[in-house]
Amino acid sequence: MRSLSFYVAGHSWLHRMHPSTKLVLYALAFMLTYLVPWPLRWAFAALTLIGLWACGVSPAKYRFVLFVTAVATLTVPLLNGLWAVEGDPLVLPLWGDFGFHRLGLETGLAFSGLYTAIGMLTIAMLSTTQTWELAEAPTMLGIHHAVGFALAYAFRYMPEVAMHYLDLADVWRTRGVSFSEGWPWDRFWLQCRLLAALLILEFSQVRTKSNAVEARGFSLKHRATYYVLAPIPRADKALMLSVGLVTGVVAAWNAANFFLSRSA
Amino acid sequence: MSALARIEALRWRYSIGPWVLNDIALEVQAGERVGLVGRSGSGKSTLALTFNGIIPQSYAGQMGGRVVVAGKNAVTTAVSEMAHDVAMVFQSPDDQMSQILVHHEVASGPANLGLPLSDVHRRVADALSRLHIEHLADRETSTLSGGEKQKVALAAALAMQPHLLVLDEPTTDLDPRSRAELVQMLESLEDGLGIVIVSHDLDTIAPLVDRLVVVDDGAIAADRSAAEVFAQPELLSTHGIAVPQPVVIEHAQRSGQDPETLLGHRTRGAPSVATQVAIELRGVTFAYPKTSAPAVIDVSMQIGRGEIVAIVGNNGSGKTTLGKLMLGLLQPTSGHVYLQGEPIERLRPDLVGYIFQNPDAMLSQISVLEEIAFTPRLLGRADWREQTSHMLSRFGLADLQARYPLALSKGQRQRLAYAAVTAAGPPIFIFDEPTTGIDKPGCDQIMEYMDALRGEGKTIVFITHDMALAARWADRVVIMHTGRIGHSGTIGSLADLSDDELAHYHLRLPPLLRFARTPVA
Repeated sequence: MRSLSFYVAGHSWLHRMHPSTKLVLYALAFMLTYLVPWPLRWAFAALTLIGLWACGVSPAKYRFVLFVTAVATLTVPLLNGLWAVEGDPLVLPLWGDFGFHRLGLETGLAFSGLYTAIGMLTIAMLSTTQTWELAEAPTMLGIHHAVGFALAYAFRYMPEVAMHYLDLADVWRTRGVSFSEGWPWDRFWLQCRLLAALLILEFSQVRTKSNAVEARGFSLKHRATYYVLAPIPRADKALMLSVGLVTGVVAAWNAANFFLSRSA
Repeated sequence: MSALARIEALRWRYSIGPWVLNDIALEVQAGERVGLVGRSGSGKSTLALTFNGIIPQSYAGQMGGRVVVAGKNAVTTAVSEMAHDVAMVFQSPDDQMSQILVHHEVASGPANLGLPLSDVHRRVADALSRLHIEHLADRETSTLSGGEKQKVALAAALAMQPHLLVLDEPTTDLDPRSRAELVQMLESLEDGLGIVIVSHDLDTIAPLVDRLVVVDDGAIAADRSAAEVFAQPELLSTHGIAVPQPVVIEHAQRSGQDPETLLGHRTRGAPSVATQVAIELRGVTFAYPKTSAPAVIDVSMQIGRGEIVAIVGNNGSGKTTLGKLMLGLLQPTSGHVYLQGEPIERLRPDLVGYIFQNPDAMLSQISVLEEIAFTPRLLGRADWREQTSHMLSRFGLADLQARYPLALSKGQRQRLAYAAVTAAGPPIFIFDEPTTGIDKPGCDQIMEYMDALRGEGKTIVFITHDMALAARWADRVVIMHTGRIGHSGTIGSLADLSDDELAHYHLRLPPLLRFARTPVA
């Protein structure tokens, strides 16, 4: 049975950072990326890629994601650049008036910069954090332990459910079902039925799973003992606060600009 | 002395259906090991769930009587509160792991009790070392084998430091090696801990229990010391429980019975393998993608038409992969598979019927009728209506033909799965672990069905880790070990294997077979 993990083993500062801190920084960086001008988004993405590489996570480890992102990154601005709006100057004519427009290209670059930066941040988070750390990160931030438990449970069972899906498909194939023949709609409908059967199969085991968890005293205490992660270090708290302040200032700056431009 | 657990006048029925527990009275003393035995559906698992209040608290139904464990009323005390005193291990190793890492799994119970962190760590270390599984501590639970998972579940239960440990069919889903290891671990648990083991497999739990409670039809049929029960084996067989083999042997010796008849082996005329080959494998090797070692290595064998062949071996020995290669579900990396003389390049439901371990996974249609007609219709059989109707009556499902398959009882669902595969009329059948988790009457029913198919000239291959089953029903046994055929021969040839050879294959010869083959002095 394979495990569900994107983790790349290492001992860098990013690997060692407390998962709860990483989670908060990830959320703040997410917001910052949205708030800053588009060239800075690209700078964020590039910095994250370089930083991640420096932490021992080579781009080769996530080359598929990188490839998909690169395709989207190139396609979105180009398609957007072809979409002319009134007053948008033509910067690269292809055929007569048809060609790439400046504002369109910029808007496309802004969008793809946002997605690329968020994608890189997500890769940084997932490749340097173990699934069990990720599951427990919210608990250490004061969120009810049931949330961390549910996340751990989901991570624990996802590979198993995937295996059940493949097993079920095999069972159907042995009875003469072909998933690769017929009209697309028929094949889609077949997959829907397979998923429904999988759901029924998984739900039939829910009772036992819930009994097993309950028999171990789950939900007995509102605050169970935190045994998975160590408390968040002070330095991390200071870091979270600093980044939080920067994000707050940038958000306030954006809000002020927005209201000023509206009143003007 | 006051009992650790006391059940008085207990009655229980689920919201739909009749009473499943009737006037149960039972006591378990501290340090006592009690076996709750009975056929499937006798109510023994339901009874076990009352010890920590899962019944009646987590199920809708009607209850009467009292259940008191360690001075707490299990009927009204929250299940999570009962966890201080009662720990449970369930049948399926896959359904009781909630955490990603093993040491987190073991720690989850004590942490739920709100113990100080140092106590949680101490309990985890204690539990893992008691069961000698410290090496698993940092493993991900999803990557463990079934036997390892069950050991971790036991460690997690022990970390709760309960007064009473309830084990609901803990060995059913395990291979013989893991089963023996788990039993050894349970035997090593110290005195003072009350243990209730639910099982229909007395061969496995006999060495563990002081007392046996026979449950049948929701009532206690007998409650005696294990020695007293074993002195009256007919008491067990009357209630659908397989008598432990050492007990059978002892009685046979006393009564001077012929050892050969004990085995109950169905003697038949051996089919002519040389002239009528149903399945042939020539130098078959198979490796799963991204794995270093092949799962099946250079296997060559022939199975004659009308033969029943058992493929035995421990988990990971390659027996299920071999079955899937015969089926055409997997294509060999090298070598060839021939069915009825034709090379198999794709799945052929008209040629091979495959019965999976979990029959529920085979049911996908909206009615019993549709389920049976499914494959014959896909195959374009002109006589699918007649065939479906024949199967409905043959498997006793005619009155249920409009019902939704998954709404049927377990036995009916199993019959339906068999009917659905048989309806395609394949000459070859492969059964994957057909009797796992099934009691003796159910097991006999399945094997009788195989025997009937054989009577119709069908070829049967069944994959199992139950050597006793193979010895009783198969014409030939193939032992798989690390992807290769370790041994292939008649049942009689098994007795020629030395203890070292059997240990090498991680198998044990059933006592009955060993006894039956022992030359009379």
